[in-house]
Amino acid sequence: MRGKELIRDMINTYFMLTTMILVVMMVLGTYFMPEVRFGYKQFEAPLTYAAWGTLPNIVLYSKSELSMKQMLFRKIIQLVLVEVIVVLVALPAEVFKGGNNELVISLVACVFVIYVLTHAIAWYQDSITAKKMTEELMVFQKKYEQ
Amino acid sequence: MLIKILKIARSEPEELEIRCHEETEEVKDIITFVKSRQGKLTGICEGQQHEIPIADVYYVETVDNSVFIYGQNKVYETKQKLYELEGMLREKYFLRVSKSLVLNLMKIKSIKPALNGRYSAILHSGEEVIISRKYVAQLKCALKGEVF
Repeated sequence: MRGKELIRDMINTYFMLTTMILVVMMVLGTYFMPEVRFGYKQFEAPLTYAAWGTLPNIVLYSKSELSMKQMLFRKIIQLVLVEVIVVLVALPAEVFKGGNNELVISLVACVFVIYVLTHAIAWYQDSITAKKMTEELMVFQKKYEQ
Repeated sequence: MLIKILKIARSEPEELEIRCHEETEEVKDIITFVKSRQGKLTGICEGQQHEIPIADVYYVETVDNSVFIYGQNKVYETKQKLYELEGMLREKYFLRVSKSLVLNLMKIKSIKPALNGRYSAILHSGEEVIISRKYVAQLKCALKGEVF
């Protein structure tokens, strides 16, 4: 992934993460702390977490085209970095104080599920596109065969 | 260099004669260009110069500032630049699919996803090459016949 692509990707990831973090906060909050009420200040959290979560995208940067294995390896590193950053950024928050391990594990699990799910959906969409392109390729080759 | 064009009868075979003091890089470029127009590329493999029919070329790739022509089993080095070959081979259904690779669309067996919006082209030789995300839209147009 090259410079411009990386920046575009980071912007996309930022907005996607903001939405996902809101969903996670809603799900975990409803389950663990349904009585808690937020002030306007709390709206900062998804925006800050998303900004931090976008940083690991940098590991995908490469001047040359990465092979499938190289990309997969970097994606795994990206996931690990996202998990570490999310935990490090979230831990100082009030709700995690007092060693609420169950909540931390849930947060890590949520990040993992969201990451895998996002990629699974993208892979499924790309598979449909690839199948369509292969079909068009067959028609193309037949048409221009000498 | 003086250029002379002599029209001949249809019964006579067409020919091109280059009269030069020595075979310079410029002359070699002209020869390569003429050969490419005749459906052949010139490449060096194991120290020997070969003429490779364009129809047998799978893809052309730049690696560390050198350009290589990939056949089914052999790899040839060429002095030509990738963009020159891209222009030359376009009418033979070759398309740029990444910053460093021009691919023969007639040699693709199938296409599959390759993470991050990229695709992988599986060639009839069994090799796989990455189609960069930037070039996917152009490939889609090409397959619809909008490029050639």
